[in-house]
Amino acid sequence: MFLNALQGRPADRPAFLPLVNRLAAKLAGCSLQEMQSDAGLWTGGLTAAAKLLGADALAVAYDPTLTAEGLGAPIAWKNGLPRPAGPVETMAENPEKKGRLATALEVMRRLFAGDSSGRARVAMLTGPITSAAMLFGPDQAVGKARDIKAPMLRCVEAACETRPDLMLLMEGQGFAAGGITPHHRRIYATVRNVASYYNIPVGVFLRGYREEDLSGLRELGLDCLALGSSVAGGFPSLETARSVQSGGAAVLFSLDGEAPDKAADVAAQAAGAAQAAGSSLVLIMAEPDRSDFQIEKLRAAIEQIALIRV
Amino acid sequence: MGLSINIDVGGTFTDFYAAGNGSGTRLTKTPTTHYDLSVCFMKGMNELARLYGLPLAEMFAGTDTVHYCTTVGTNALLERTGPKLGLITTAGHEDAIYIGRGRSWADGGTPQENRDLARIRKPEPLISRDMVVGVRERVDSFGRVLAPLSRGEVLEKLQILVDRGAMGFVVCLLWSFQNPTHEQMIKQIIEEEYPEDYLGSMPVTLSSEVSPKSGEYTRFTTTIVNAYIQGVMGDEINKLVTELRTGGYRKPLVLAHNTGGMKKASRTRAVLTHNAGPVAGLHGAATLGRRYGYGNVVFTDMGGTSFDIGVVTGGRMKAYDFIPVIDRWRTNIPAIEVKSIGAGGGSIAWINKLMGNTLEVGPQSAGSQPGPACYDKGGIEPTVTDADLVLGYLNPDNYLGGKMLLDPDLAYEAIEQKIARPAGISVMEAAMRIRRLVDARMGQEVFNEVALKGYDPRDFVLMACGGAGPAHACGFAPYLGVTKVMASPYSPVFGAFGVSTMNIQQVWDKSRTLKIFRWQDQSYLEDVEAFNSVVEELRDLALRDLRLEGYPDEAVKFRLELDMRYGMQYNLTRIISPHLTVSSPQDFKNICDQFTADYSAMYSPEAIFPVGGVNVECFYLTAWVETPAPRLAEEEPAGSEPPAEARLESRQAWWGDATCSQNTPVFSFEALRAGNLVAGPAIVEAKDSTYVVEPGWSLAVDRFHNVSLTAGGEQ
Repeated sequence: MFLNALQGRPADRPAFLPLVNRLAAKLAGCSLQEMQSDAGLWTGGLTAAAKLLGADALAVAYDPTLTAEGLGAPIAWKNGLPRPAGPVETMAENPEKKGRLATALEVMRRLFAGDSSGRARVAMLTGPITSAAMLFGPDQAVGKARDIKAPMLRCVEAACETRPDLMLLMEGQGFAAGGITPHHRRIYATVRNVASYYNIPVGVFLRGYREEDLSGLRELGLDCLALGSSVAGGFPSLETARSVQSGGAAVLFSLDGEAPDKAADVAAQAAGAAQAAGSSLVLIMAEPDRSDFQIEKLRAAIEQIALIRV
Repeated sequence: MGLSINIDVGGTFTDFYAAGNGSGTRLTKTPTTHYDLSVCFMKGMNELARLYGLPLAEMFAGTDTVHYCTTVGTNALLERTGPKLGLITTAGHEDAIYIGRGRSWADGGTPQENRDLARIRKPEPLISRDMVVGVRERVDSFGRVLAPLSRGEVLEKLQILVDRGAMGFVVCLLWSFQNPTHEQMIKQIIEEEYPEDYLGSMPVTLSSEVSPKSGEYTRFTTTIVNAYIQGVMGDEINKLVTELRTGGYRKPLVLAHNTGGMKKASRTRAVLTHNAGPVAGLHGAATLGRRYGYGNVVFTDMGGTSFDIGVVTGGRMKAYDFIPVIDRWRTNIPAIEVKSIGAGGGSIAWINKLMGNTLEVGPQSAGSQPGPACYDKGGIEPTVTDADLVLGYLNPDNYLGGKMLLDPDLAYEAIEQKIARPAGISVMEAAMRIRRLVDARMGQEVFNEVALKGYDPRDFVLMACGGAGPAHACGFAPYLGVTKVMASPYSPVFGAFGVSTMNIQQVWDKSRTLKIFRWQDQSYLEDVEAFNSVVEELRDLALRDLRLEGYPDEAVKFRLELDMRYGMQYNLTRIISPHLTVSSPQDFKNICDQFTADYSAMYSPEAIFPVGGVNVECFYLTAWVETPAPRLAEEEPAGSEPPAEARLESRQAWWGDATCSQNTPVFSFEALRAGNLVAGPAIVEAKDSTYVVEPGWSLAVDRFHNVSLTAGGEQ
């Protein structure tokens, strides 16, 4: 269902990809930190979340701090959430074997190998520009992406080896500020080359962007691009979401997880518009940023979304 | 459409060659996905469909045959992913496979490893010592039972192996090729204990069936290797067949053999698939050579990982691999000899600090992942391809027809950091040295291969195949003293092209010692039945097998070869027998005369030794069904001057000692016409390859669009 939608094949309803992290920990009955230290808890939590939300695809490692920590960035836990705690001192040579990233990769191996649920498998890593920003500071992010290329590719290759159906790289604020540069194109070309050896499409999930920076994103030649919330906190229209895709007839459209009660209406409108435009639709909903979100409200909204037909 | 699709898996690329009635030929290459060969297999199929302008299902519906050279078995051996096997052997000989032959510790080792005597170790055995049991039985060298087999003891030893976790059994008893009764009894006992319809059923492999030849070490290892890779290969091939069937191809998958033929996958012994790709290429070279009237051809295939060399004489592949080594195991399969060395486009250039900072190239390869630095897949080691790119020979925007973009900056940086700076030389000089070094290694190996077989390389036509072959032909050809090199438009996928030239064929072999000439009384053997019974046995096996392939007896052709020697010589000489069966001592004389003639040609007439008598030691019956040879499309000659549309934009390239670059003309291979002549220095870009015409060489296109590269301007 999800893969067909990604390839632009028509379906009777939009495909749905939830991006969850703390929800999985809640369902696993432990803190986020505990879950991310234990592959068993993490696997169980994500599986439970996917079933609860009726997901068409299962995304693993939706946490931008994982890759940065693997690469060597110090991470501090505050209010149960991980945050970058300063610039990197020593870059790790084998990031794929370090800490929570290694656990995440193990979760991918367990969930993706012989999965018979029919759900698509999505491996998530932090993108090279945002990783560099976390390691060296946002001002140096684009220029320093080259310095982290080798360890970054190790992470990409390790994730590819778990044989996901899609690799989604998380990029944040500052990714495209000032436009897409040769640095962006080079590092993404290499990532795509590595992933293409494993026959895995590559996409980006972008948040914290400015509308004026979106026009150049097509130059990256990504298989898909999903826009989350902008730097102003708003979500893009379907038109905007369509305009950033490099090719294909699929639109990845983000719903606001902070406002689940409105999500179903927004989704229905998007589905109608997508069908009219001849595009297939993939709905993405990232879990709310605040930790006190109500699972039931989220679930009710998603049940409404699952009833949408085109 | 009547398509024939042919696939050859290489270390770096998997090659596809498709040809059909009226559909034209299509070639494509795709990086080999070692983690799962079915991924690159289907990627290539999808690309072929795109090239034919058809949906995949429609292309498959119009496909008559799919021929496949696979490395699945070899990979399983190298990666040790086979099952846990139990070995049942003659009591007292449980350690035969561990003792090996005198120098088995060196089998399959690189020259560097073999010189390190202090550290060289025998390889980890495929069957551990605790999984070997001996049963009391004995058959002598004439096949007479000296000690019968005990059912009770077999059951007892079987249980030991099962308790220790055996997932399959290999049965290798002494002299079983003379009398297989005891091996067959053990198989029967196992099948009674673990019937096929039970969950506990286990495969049983007999040495008398896999390898009925003398020499227990090689017979045992051939059988063990076959059993080890059989299951893994079976699973992978079934997976592929399922993918093909789902895609719309419902006919059998045919596998190429290292004996020079091909059979349905369901009727192929796993051990015969090792090195089938290079043998297929050699077969293609022999076929192409015969088309041109060239009886003597040196076949070379420079791919991404290895450089293969084979020799064709008298229009045939005559050289057999002497007790061929598969990984670290000596076997006795009747494989055609194709030598491989680690020299290809992906061979890594490095500075050998232990040898005074000398530049070395290979044998390590960058493979398909990460590949050369210029592939921009994360590779940082400089390779031969990087050198060719930096020197201006490769077009970074037109590599593999533009499917893959190369990054010259990454190539330059890799050569600079790893070679130029440590060696204190310029990047261009470093690149040229890398190129010259790999050309020298290849040239010397080719010379050795031909000269050590007793031939003069100057009597041969050199065929440069492989994706990188045409780019380096002018570099290594001079080492043979040849001034003419031939390259085919199918060079980039020559292994796949070669498969399309192969027949449905298998070699049936059996050891039997017959003294056919006695010096003492100057007599020839009178017992014709002793000879004919072996031939009839092999012929019956061949006919039964080919009937199951779907061919009538009348379509089957035979050729009998014999391993022969004088007296108790160590080495055997293989000849083509002038008779399939014999009817009188005169026929044995004819066989001896043929042996004498071949031996004299090989070693000189002074070397013959009829005083020792003449023995036949082994019979090889090749049975085949002719398959139609591929048609080569012919063009009308168009004059020596290339047409304007063949001329592409010139670019800077470095020649000679690489002190300065030269504006070098570039041509499109596809746009050249029959009769066109291109004088070097020049570059001719084909979709999946590049022809580098060095200064002093010229390239000519013939009416079949094959290319000859000639030194000195002669045509």
